[in-house]
Amino acid sequence: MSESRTNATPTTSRTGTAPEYPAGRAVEVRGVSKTYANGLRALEAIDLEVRERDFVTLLGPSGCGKSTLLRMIGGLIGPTSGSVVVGSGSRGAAPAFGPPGVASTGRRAEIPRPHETRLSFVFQAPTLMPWASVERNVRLPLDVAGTANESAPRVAAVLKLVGLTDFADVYPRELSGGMQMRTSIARALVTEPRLLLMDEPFGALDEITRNRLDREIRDLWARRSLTSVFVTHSIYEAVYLSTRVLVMSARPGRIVGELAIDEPHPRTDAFRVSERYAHWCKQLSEMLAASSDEGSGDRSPRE
Amino acid sequence: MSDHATRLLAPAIVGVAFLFLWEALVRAFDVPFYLVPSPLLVLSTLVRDAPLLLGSLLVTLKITALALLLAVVLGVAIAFVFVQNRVLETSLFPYVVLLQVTPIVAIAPLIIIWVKDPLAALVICATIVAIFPVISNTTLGLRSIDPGLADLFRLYGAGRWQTLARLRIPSALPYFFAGLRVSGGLALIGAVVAEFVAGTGGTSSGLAYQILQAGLQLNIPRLFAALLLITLAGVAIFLLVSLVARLSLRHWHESELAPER
Repeated sequence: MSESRTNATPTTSRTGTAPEYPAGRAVEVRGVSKTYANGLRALEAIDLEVRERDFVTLLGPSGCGKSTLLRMIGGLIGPTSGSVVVGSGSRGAAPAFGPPGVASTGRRAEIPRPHETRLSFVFQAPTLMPWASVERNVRLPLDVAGTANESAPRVAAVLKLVGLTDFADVYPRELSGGMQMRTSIARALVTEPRLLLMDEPFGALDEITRNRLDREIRDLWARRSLTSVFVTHSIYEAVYLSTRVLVMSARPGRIVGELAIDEPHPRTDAFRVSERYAHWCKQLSEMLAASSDEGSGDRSPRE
Repeated sequence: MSDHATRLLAPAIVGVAFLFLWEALVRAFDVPFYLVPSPLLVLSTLVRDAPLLLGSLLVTLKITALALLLAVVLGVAIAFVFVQNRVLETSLFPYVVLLQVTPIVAIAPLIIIWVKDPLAALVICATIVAIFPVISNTTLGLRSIDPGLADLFRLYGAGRWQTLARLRIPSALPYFFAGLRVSGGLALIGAVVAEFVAGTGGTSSGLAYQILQAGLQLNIPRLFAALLLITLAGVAIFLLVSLVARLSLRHWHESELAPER
């Protein structure tokens, strides 16, 4: 068991612009802060490293900036200061990555683009195109990349993987919430990503469906040499899925603790009712409680 | 009785009852036909004057169709430009509004003087009346995209055109059709109003011209018959646009889904 309540990158050498990144490093976040135009400090001094094959979970209360951090890793927003390195591409503070909206101008050569690092994102909502069938929704990343002619077998394969083969021609509104989420996961997997970012993907689902999808994510991660960064506010989900859990606190968002869930994979359903499971959950919930005490101290009017 | 039958039958009963009452009142009080003709007289006038009136109907419909087509093509093109360029939109949108609020009766004489070809002049007038809902609704629709889907498109490196074709246009379709439904009626109104203005110059033989002539000659049954044709044309345009909207949106948009049974 390794637990540290300091920042999460003890071993990175800060030599600046290294052209080659050590094999096995999927994501590196260094000294990242994000301050919005209205003065809100969403993230402060974030250091984070994700190794390949890691399943890292960002755990924290709502408003702690965990989604912001994930979107930054995905390249959807840029940091105010610090740098984010995903795979072989680097995104620092401006001007390497422009404000949101500029990135969609189609000038491919100028901006390091998330899709070139084989990265996929599963959002909190299924985020499906209501006018397109399940099959066309799943095919979208391939269509956009212009590889549509070789897409049919890959689409069929991921639909089978998530158990939606019989629903290929169905429109999203006809699906249950869980099936919509599966469609979203299939779409994320169709590009065969190396890095899968998930932002509370099952937050809106009932517990039974959520447990089942957690199991599917666990299997996918184990079978497909994926690296995952997962955002949740569920301690139970974090313990079940993760190799490492980073605990965050709010206002400003910081990483206040790290816990390696030192349990063998694949994790069984029996693990979810074991004493060891309860032990990990207890530890995480204590870390969360400690961090929120700190947080309320920061905001105290007596200061 | 099924829902569908009720929806057709209920308004039909009201209509027939109204016509009966009208016929009965005209007969009971012996109202002269040059004040209020009875429905039967209007119908027989319609049949008798059919060659004249249908010819005029065709002229009006041609103007309406051309104007609606022009309004859609220009309106959608302008909306695309507005969505791609905020500066252009903020600079030009006030003038689009100006065009919308200026009564067409006031500018029609100018256009008819400026444009030599009478048909072209009438089409331009009707287009001016019909174009605003297309521009404003399509612009709104092209902007009303799911932010999550917008993120997704950026994530997969979709360019401006990909995003337009695969995300903005499908998102805008329901808004566009809502605008088109209004524009269809406006194109007809614009055509008739322009004909009225032009008709005084004697350059047109559309339905409005027939109404003007019939009014001058106190041929009130023919006036009613022409009015009836304009109304029917308006309803037909509305139904046609609704049908196209239904065919385009029936798979996914809430407005066109069959109710759950």
